[in-house]
Amino acid sequence: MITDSLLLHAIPDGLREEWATHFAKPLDPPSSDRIALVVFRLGAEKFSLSADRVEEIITPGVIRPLPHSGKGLLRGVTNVNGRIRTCVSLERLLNATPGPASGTPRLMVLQDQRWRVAAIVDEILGVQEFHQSDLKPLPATHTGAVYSTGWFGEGDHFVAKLNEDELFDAMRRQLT
Amino acid sequence: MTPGSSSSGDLSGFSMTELFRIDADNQLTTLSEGLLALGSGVDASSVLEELMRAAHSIKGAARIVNVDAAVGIAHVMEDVFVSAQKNPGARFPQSRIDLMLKGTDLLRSVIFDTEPKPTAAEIAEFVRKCGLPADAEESSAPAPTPKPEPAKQELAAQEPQAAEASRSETQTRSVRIGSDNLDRLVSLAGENRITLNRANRFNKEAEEIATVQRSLLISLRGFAETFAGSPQAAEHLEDIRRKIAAAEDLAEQLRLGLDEYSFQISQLGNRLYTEALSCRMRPFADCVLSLKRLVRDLSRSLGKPCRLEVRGENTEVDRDILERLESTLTHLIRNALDHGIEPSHIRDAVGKDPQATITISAAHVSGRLVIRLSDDGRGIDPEYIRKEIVARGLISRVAASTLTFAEVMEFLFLPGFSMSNKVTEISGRGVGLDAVRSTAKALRGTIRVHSTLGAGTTFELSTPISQALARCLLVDIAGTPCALPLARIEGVANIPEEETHYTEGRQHCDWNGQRIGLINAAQVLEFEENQPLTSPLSVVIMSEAGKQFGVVVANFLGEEELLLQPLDSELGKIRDLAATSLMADGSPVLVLDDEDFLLSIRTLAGEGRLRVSKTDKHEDSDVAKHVLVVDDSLTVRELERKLLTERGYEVTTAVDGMDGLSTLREGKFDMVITDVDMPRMDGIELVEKIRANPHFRDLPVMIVSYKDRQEDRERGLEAGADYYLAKSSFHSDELARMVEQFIGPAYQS
Repeated sequence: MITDSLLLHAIPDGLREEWATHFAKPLDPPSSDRIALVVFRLGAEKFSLSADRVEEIITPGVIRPLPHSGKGLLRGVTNVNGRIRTCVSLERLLNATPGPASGTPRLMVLQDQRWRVAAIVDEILGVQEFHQSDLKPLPATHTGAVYSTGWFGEGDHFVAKLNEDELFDAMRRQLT
Repeated sequence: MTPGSSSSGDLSGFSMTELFRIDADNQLTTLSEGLLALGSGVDASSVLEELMRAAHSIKGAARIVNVDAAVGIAHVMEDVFVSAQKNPGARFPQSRIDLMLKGTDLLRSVIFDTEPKPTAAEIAEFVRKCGLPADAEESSAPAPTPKPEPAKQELAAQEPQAAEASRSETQTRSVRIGSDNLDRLVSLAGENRITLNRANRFNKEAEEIATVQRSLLISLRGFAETFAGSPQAAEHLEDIRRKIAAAEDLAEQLRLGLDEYSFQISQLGNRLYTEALSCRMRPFADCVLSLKRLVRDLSRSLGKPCRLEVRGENTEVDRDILERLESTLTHLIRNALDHGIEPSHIRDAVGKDPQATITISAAHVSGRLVIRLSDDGRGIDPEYIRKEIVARGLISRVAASTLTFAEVMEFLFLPGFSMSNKVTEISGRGVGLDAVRSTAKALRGTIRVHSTLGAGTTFELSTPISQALARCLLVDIAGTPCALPLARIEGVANIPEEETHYTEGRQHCDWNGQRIGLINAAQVLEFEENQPLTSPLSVVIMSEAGKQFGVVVANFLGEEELLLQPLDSELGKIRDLAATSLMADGSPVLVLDDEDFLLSIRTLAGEGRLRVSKTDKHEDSDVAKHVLVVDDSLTVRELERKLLTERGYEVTTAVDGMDGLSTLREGKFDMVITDVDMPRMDGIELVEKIRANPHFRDLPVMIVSYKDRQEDRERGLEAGADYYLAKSSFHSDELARMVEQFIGPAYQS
């Protein structure tokens, strides 16, 4: 019987010491360089945001405009899981170039401490991991009121990395 | 997850300090309650045990988290309780209770780090006092004693039973839940209910399937009767019939099953929602403890013995208003003790119980929360107020004499109106009942006062039971659903447009014998009206201070009780908007702020900027825009005429420049379209002559010509034409489009 031979098998000398040494070895430090980003498309441009700032991504519903809101950053309010959340026009804030109408639009709910704010994006391209060290600088013309700190990717896949804190600050300022 | 964020709601997210504070809070509440109970003569032994254990717990916990000051205070308090337990015969004097209550205050300040922070000297003094024997304390304090002892003891005997009973009632277990969690729970329950209630539509679809199956069978039978075919055909037909019958049975089963299931789940959804909402409710007892303490402290410092009776401690109160309720009642109690209640010797002299009573009651009455606070003091003298009002110049003596009792009482709620002549520490600064009234208003409620001279005064606060729910009228304003709270709505009406009249450009109509002004709701909210209104006009009549306004909306959508959600705080206060909510289909609805709304209306009316509400019948000018077409070719003239009249424009033609000029002078035209090559006067000269005439300097002129060279264009534009359209690149659309660009559509809307 297998069990007989397996369970009655004598332990060779030094086996215990061998395994103890193995487990005593210090672990490799976890790669602190890697960040998970949600990559999405607004118009013709691709952006990315730290995944821990995105609470959820759902199918967009009705967005109701508010009185006296005009055509600013505030798009209106929408229902997210029974709570009514503010919906902003991220493409207006980022001045994104208009693009093709393909892809499935989604509602992205962003979080900053206790604040939640939603924005419609043209397409979600997934959650991807990048190394911080792979962040490349943007061209010299990219100065002034900008929210991207660098870019990732190669070839056709150009993804700008947004500065989440500045983004939220700007939204707060422009909404009041 | 950061400590203390407790997004999961369990205690593991809290730091040790936070846990200690939660625990200490409970123990301090036990201490306060126990001490107050002791003060009203309850059997001391059981209470002392509780008190001792509470102090002991705090001491132990404070040691673990190294809050040394708390350890010291709790320790001496524990000693006091232990030594009192060792002398079961001795009374626990009032002054000792005062001292222990001060101890709980010190502990609270130290543990919760609140201002003013107790100094080491203060704490040392407290410890010293605790060390003194009880008798020494008693003789040094100037405690006023009420005169007729027997009466007091009788009352004291009745007190403990009531106290015991109420304490056991309110001892249901309670748990802590973060307010974020609770909000999420309520939202999800609301969303769930909406979604489950929509399951009904599947019932209808199942029913439709069954109906289709039945009609299939009927058709098949008809077919079988008329069709005489082979035996195999008959067999096939029978087979088909059987299968359809089986499908019909299945469909019917599905329908029945769905019916029952959707009923159950929508029941569950509704009940879950109601339960979640009721989590927002707290027993009234939650705000009573501090009031008991207040009455005790105040009555001792003022030397006016007074006790507090509370009824309806278990009445449910929306947790959102507990704080404001407590502060309102605090205010009223201070007033009562300061002004309302007479010193005990005066009370005795008029035959009243020297110990005064303040009664607070909370109850649900006809769907409202009614809180009453009464004292058995001297009452309010309406004549005194009447004189005061006149003295302060608020109203003439003649008018004052016609005021009813209720109207006189209203003056008490004016800002700065205070009944006392001197500013006492307690009250009398005149920061008074107006604060109470504005709190009542903020809670969407009312406050009233009744009084009998010599017998006492009662204040009655009435609010909706739930602050979160509001009955609203749903309306469509320019395509956006909005909700108007019912409170200020007098009525709704469908008013045919023909029955509206205008005075100085302002629209009004008749309603119930009143003439009311009409306001377009979309204008107030600055919503673009994408659809024209239809007759009859849907009008909501709102009133404020006796004035009525007719608010014109696109449509009525019904009446609903909505669960209000406050606006995102980051947006600040948005004018005209009070809150948001969700409709039965899950989409957001805007809940309007009726005060703001009425203010906006008055502002617009005052500035004379009110837009009228009209349906899409052509109004001011049933006259279309008039275009003059000048061309020597008949074909071109008629083609251009056709293109423009199709768009509704009125067209007159002329055969050359001269004809065009004279026609222009005789008629009234909005635009001229002219060719270049014409006999007698060509287009260029025509344009020049038109521009030379000051009357036509701004008249839009367009040249339409076969000549398309650069120099031709330049010539035309230099002459004064506004546009040069080449006939070769001339698409039928473009002519009309350019005309519309210059003078707008045929009929000005």
